[in-house]
Amino acid sequence: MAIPDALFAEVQTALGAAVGPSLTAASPPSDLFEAFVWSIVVRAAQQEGATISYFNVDGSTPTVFTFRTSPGFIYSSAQPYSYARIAFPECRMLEAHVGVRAQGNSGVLHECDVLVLSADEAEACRVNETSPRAASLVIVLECKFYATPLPLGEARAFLGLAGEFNPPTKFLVQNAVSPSISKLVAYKNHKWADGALPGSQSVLNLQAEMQSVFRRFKALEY
Amino acid sequence: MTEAEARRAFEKLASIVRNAGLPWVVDQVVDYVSRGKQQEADVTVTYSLALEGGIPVAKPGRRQRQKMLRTVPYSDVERLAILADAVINAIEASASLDDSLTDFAKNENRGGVRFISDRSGEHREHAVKGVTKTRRDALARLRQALTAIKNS
Repeated sequence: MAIPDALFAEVQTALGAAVGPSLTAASPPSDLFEAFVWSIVVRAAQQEGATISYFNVDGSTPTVFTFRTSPGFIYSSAQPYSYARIAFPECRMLEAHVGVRAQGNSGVLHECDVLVLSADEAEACRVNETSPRAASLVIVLECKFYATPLPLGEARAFLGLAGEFNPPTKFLVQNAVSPSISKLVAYKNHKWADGALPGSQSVLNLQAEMQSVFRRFKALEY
Repeated sequence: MTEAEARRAFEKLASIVRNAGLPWVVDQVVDYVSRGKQQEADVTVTYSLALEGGIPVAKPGRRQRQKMLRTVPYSDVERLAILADAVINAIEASASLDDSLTDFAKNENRGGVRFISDRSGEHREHAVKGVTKTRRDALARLRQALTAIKNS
């Protein structure tokens, strides 16, 4: 039996009202997803006892969080991009950023969707207009938003990126569920979270994993 | 639903989704289905694989069954279901991210979350808005209609 035209008409009408402003662009809402993952990093740090403060790249306090729509430089002052400062007692301060480039072990710059790094290094980069080095990074998160299961090429790109950033802990975080991606990333002994959407068990697991990274950081710093 | 009906339905739905400003959803689906699906296959071979001087060689051997991977194309009915699911996933996920970020900003005493491009010549800017009742109702209607198309 052919599908009634009325169903397609209903899809057309409902789509108009169901699509939010972040989805009307010609690309996936990756920026939304990265900001969401950044918020999980902040929550994880809070849960581990950190005091969080927020800043814009120009030093002002954000009234509204401002993030990039594509990766940029940590020192870019084109817009008042926001970041979180993470202060654990008796530890060096850290910062959490969205969409900045960092220097891998090879010396090449790579785009990091979400990044936790030494606040000293971040400040030096803002002053000197340079990019953070791998040795200053604590967590690197590669975030992928797909309507379908992730193509394998994205996992291969993550593994290449992971090889460039040692020693930070690397995570591949995706909204979709892709068993072959999980298999490949697990086989290569990296961390991943799939189906990572608000309210999911995957997000709780991811937050717990990041808490464990912060616990290790505190222990080594103390 | 026959394969021909599913093929026509896929084209119709893809066109609606593209015109709604979501061409990337269709592009991702087209890319995904073009790669086919992998299945494990029991294959009978009369050789065994070995390394000789670091070079792989197939050495004649006894007849044996081995597991290999086979890639087969998706049917048109499957392609339609994948597209319908992708639309539901993308729109529901983005709505839940909108809600979550709105709540996060509120809990941190900020006025909201916005995204601005810093690439010169690219004027892309949008702000997160929580999911209104109208949008929530539309999401439910969309899910219902797409599920009905998928199950026709």
